[in-house]
Amino acid sequence: MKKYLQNIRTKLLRYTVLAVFILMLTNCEFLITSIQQPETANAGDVITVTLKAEFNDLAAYSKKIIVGILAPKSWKLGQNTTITYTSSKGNGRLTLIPSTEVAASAKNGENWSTHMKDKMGIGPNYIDDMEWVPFQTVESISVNNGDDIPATFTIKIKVGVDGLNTSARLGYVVCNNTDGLDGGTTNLWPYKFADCLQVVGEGDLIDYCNPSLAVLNPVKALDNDYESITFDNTVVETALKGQNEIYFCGTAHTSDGKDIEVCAQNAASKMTETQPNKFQITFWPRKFFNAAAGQTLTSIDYFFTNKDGTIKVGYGNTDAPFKLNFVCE
Amino acid sequence: MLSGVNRIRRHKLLMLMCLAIVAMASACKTERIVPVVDESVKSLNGTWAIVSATQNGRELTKVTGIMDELSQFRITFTDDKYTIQNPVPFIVSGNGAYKFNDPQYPFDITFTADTASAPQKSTFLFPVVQGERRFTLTFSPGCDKNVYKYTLKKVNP
Repeated sequence: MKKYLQNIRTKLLRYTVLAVFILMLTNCEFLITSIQQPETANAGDVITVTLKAEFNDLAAYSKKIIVGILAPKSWKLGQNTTITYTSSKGNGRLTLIPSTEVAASAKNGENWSTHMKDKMGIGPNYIDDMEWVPFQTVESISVNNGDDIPATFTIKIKVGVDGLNTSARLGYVVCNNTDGLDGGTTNLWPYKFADCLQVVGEGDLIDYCNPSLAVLNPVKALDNDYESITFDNTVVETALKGQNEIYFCGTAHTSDGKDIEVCAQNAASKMTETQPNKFQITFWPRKFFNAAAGQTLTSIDYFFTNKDGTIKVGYGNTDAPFKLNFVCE
Repeated sequence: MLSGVNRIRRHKLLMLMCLAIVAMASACKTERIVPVVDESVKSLNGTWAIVSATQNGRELTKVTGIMDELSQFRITFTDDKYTIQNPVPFIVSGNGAYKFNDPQYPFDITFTADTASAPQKSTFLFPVVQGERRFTLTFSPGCDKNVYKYTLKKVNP
């Protein structure tokens, strides 16, 4: 009888230890509880974003907290952002993580920015010309067993430093510097995308928030780069609805003030249907427009047409052409 | 009888000693050092064609129309000169001269087109794939952030 009781006691102890261990594993998590971000701003304004997060962990540790922000590359967020935080474990500020630092949990030695892009991409945005910019707390934050720490990050961003009319959905991720963006679960690296932020600047709207009729890949290129242009005939109802043969029609402008028009509907200008109602053409601009040696193409105005060239669709489903500027920044 | 056994023992001992001496002598023999062979100077002489190409990691060879264009590209190396036929976006856009940072152990290659003012440098990989030499160049013909990687193999001109 005594032995039987002892056996039960040992088993009970074993299961209790196991249960606590499982609890420790599952209860270890970070949360983004809210993001407050303005909906509009003028290019060059400093906006204030308030990100509230919670860190629950049953294990004691001392780690630096990392905040990553997704934004258009041309906003150069790394140089235009300051972040401070308040928490029950003290207050402080965050600094930019240098691009030479390899991210924790990165399998191929990627830096934090690349690793974040690999894991989370560009979220609900439509133009892949964005970057994740990582910041980390200057001091490590020490946590005792079972602490539940709420923290508030105050993020000040000078938006739209390129001065351009832009709308984009900024992304935010929170993690720590030793676990990084680890494994299959996002328990330790929650991320959220804010609502669309409209930045009022100059020029045509660069709309990351909504699908566009024409998508460029790469987004920034020169006339000596291969360029893919995709016409998405599903975004709105265009005059080309129902057409299954779409052609590219463009006029290139050169640095010596000449215009070169290529608008014949032939094999070279025919677009390939890569997905239903999505048509793509890839070309080397210098060859496509037959640029002479020493002649530089500065931009292209273009339309999509039907087989006989009688129907043309331009920028925003209007008669105005789409414009592609050959610039790198 | 006893002396006979002793003799056999002595013989065994002698033989063992002989063996030991031979073993010791051969063990002490200085090993001949393998003569230093000069690493060959790498040569690209011949005509090369593109077998694979990527732009920012995207396979260009799978893009409609582009594969045909890329597969017609030829670059011919003759000693320190090169000539290009059927041009595509490339590290240089005209004929000219090239050189390695080190002809025996090349890690990068520099092209200087006759018409260009500045030389263009690329990392250089020279692997053997299925018994054939390949070489891989990494460069940006347009914007710096657009990175191209071309792998070429030798073909008949």
